[in-house]
Amino acid sequence: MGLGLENIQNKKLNISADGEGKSNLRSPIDVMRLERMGSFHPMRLSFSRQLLRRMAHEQWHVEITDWQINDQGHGHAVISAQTPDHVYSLVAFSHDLDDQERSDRVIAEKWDSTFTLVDGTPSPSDIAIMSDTVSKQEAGRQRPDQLTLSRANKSVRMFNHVVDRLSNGQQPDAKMVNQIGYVMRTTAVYGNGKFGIGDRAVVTKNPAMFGPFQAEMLTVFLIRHFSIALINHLAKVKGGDHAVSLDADLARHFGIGNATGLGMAPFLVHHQVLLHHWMQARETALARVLDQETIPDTAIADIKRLLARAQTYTHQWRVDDQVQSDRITQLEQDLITLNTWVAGDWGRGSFALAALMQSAMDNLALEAQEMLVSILLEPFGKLIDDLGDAMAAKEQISVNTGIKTQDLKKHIEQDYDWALNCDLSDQEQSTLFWYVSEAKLEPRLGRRYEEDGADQEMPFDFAHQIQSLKNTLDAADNEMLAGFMLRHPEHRQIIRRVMNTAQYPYGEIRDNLVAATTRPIDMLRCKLSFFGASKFDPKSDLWTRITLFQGAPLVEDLSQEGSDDWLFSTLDIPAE
Amino acid sequence: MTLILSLNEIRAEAEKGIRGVACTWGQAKDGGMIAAWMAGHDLPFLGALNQCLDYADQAEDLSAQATKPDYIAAFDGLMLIEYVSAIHGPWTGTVMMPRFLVGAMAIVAAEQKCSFTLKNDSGDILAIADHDQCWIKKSGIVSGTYQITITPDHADTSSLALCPWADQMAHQASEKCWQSLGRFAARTYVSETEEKRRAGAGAGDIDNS
Repeated sequence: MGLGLENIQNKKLNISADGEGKSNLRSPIDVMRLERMGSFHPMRLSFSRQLLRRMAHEQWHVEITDWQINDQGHGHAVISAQTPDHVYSLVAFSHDLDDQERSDRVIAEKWDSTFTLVDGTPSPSDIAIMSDTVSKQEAGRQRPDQLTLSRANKSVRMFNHVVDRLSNGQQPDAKMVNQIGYVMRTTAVYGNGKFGIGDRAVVTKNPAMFGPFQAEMLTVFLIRHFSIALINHLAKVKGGDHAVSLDADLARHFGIGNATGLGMAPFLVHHQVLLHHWMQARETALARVLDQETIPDTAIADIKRLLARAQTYTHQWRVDDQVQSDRITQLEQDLITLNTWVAGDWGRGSFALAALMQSAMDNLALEAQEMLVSILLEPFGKLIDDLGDAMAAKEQISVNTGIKTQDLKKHIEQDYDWALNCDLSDQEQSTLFWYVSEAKLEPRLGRRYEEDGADQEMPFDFAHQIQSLKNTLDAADNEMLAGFMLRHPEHRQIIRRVMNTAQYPYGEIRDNLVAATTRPIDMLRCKLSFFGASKFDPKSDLWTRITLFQGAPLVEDLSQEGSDDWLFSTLDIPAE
Repeated sequence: MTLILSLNEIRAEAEKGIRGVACTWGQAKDGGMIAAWMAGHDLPFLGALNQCLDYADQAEDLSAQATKPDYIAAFDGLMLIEYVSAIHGPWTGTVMMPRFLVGAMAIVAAEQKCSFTLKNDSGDILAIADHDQCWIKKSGIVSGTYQITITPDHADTSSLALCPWADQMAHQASEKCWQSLGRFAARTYVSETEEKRRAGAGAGDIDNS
């Protein structure tokens, strides 16, 4: 460490291709490693950010159109989101839930609240039907005009604290608000045809929902609005004239929590083309930014401001998980270094952004490198925001089998050396197996040599499949792939992956997903960062809590100047 | 009883069902996509798929039969069409449930921007898939000997019906057939035990934090 300003001012990024500061994309070989993917942070191309920019730009009108919540906080409400040419409605059901029934597990069967986002405006009879089906979640048959299905539980201590304080005319404790960050956390937000709700083809009939996970993000944003309305309602019921409404600054710092388990990991594996498009957009954005020879003064100021804010954010980011806690400690150190690097008149030389990024990659830990990526993208919306339009993609199903098996072997050697280099005689490389439980079809991870069920494992042992394919190819003549595959359907899946990877190189994770060292949490964090999640709070290698929309504008703030400025948002906490 | 299903449910359940009869994961994914394509184009598929699954489930008993088809279109259709695409030439053989070939032809034609023709052993054209469009003869596609070719320019589709994307939000299926498919799909699930339940992701059975 210890690089001074003079050292980094004109340093060229070694990912530069032409010596003129035009950066190539970072290689998939480096980017698509679990450890790096598990260090991603939210960024301006995250789907929640894209949604709110659209809502602000198009001046969507959000309002509670039906509030049938009783004095105990139970009943239903409808929140409508009016776009220039369409209306979406969040239908929220708030239930009486015994403390003994409150669980974040997928296998739970009751929740504090259940939700659905409806395409259009639901009639009273629609709501009556949904009050039954939506509250049952997976067990209820849903309707195709429902675009999402979700549920949430209260953070009991936060929820009760806020209601108590507000009802007594006081605001909640800012430190607690910052630490927990939400009064409700979702335990699933289903989309794309699950349990009978509308397919993505239905969802994307309206351009507003074409981007990835826009319906899901809208659902969560409206759940946040509902959660704040609910606590204000209950405080008023409890405190009457003594009650006050939640302060807007505190309200902005309430996001919606989420408990995320293993279900997100198979998604990344199954959606190779989509994952490529997400990653490529992010890496292209970075490359565009690093290509800037000179930096506008405003961008220099923004980067310095965001790095300072990131220090506060990181200082306020506290978790119990030892691995993540250690990483946060290192990140705090690295941010001190980064802030030192950009002190003074940093940014005046040529390609200062590329030099800064290169120095980070050479000297700082992955958490800091990837946090810097998020920060460097932030001031350059005009340069990169168009990339958000390229983040949706359709999966490639067919395989171009008009090549020779020799060519397939070349693709394997080029893109799967990590798999060929795995020593599969080592049990550690086969320790895990991914499976679906018969219990509510919960995705799980098993230990192959300790428990049964591996004969029904999901096919995520790609290193094994690659080596098996390579062995078969080595023993066969060079022939048309089409004929080879008809004779060897057992290799169909991995051949499709290899051919997809040749075309979509960011679509394949370059690690053995069944090795003992694999941490599924890295895959979850990658996907969640694309959602815009913050305050990653791992509870084990298998699941994490996060917060969405923390620091985001409230519904009434959306069109205000600066409403998009909520990356790594922090809360001013009064000194004790 | 009729169920209303999404295409994603159909795709996922068909995939699991095919895997449930010990087809490879690659074949299962292919079959799921073909089933969803057929549902999306309002072509019957579920009963035929279940017949394929029943057949495959008894494959060991049937393997010695002389009438064993070369391929089962619901499982092998995509690979077969890709083969025709790769060799630019005809393929002829016996196919079980060839209606699934139509879905396979359409998927490959759309993705690889090409065109295929399906003929029976009398030379009658039963389907043509050309880029994003598909024409089909809606009856008479039964198990038997078929030829798949690259479609020549200016192919005559006049005896066929255009098979458009059924622009509907949901798709109907017989509950009985769906349950039958579900029984095959359930074979891909791992039985629940208390130990496995405890090892799942999440805070535990109760979480009031």
